[in-house]
Amino acid sequence: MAESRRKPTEAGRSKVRIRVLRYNPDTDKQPAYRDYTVSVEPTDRVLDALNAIKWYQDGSVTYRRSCAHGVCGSDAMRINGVNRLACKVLMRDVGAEVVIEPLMGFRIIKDLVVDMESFFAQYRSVLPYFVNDSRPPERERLQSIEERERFDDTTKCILCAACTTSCPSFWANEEFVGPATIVNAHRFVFDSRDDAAAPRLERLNGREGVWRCRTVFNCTEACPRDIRITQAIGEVKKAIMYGQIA
Amino acid sequence: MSTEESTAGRGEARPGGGYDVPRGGRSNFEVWSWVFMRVSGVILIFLSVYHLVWWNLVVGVEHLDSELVIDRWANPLYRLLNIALLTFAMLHGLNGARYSIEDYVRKPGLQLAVKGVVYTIVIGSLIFGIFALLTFDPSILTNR
Repeated sequence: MAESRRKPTEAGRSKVRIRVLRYNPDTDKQPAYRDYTVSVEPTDRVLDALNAIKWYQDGSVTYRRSCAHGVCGSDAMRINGVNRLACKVLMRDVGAEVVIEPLMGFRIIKDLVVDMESFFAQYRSVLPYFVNDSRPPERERLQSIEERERFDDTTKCILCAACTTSCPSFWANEEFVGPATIVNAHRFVFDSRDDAAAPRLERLNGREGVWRCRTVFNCTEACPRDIRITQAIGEVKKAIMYGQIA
Repeated sequence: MSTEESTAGRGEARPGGGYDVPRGGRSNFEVWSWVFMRVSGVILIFLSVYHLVWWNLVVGVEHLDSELVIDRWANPLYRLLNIALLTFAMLHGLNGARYSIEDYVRKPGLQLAVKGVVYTIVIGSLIFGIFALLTFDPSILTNR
């Protein structure tokens, strides 16, 4: 067992400077950068580097992480200026100097932990759950492969907020519902079994709804799940348009 | 985004929280404005490419003079084409400017003021241009 385990080789390791934007609202007036040097392997993830800092150098460094495998969406942060999940980015892909900052557009609670309450309030406003009050059939509500395929892409969202906080429209105006909310509305609007498309589309048919999207594509770039977000938003726009005009 | 939003705003309470009721009530204005942008955009591609390529490259800038304009505008269809180009270009641009103003001028009073100035300039020059196109009289130039 011990032999089969890969031992970290000294040769493969390198020193990397990690610059973290630190902020403690109790003591700091302004967020400020602090540098740490850690020894990493190329196949380590940015999250491993952060853990190395927190566990062995400075326990006060604060960030969210949970599953560490790109599923829970806790550790979205700005890595070298781009929104990424720290657990999905390898150190060999980020260079010898890494700048890590919290997501933009949210209030910082501490260091890399941001207040996402407004994000989830937006999310809740589009009824992000299955709605069908009709009596269910004997066994289950069936759906064809094509009907399921229609919204398959948007089921992949993990609510990490990487898309919403990379969106210039959201930076400019926090009342904009943001791409993540539209993606999650899309998931149910185009579900053949669901009955509540109308209230969702009505919610999104406003200046702060889909129409503030300027098709910048930042969200699609940022999504760690490779959801084609801008396309999903376009489909929602078309659904509203045909609902109002046709 | 402004630097104010990214740095000074950090650590401070952000407005908002409940989003259940969209402001301004129900309106389909934004849908129509979106459709208009797409339709006018496609129309403008043809109109402006024709305008640019035919008159500036094929006919040539060096041949563009008042005689040519008089000849062209003798045909009402050309005036109509020019009115369409002018109208779509100005309104398409105006709506784009409205998007930017609503994105970045956040104070309601200031937003109204900026919109007022931009709308006045654009709508004013649009009306002026259409007026000129409709009332253009060649004799002003030929009698000279």
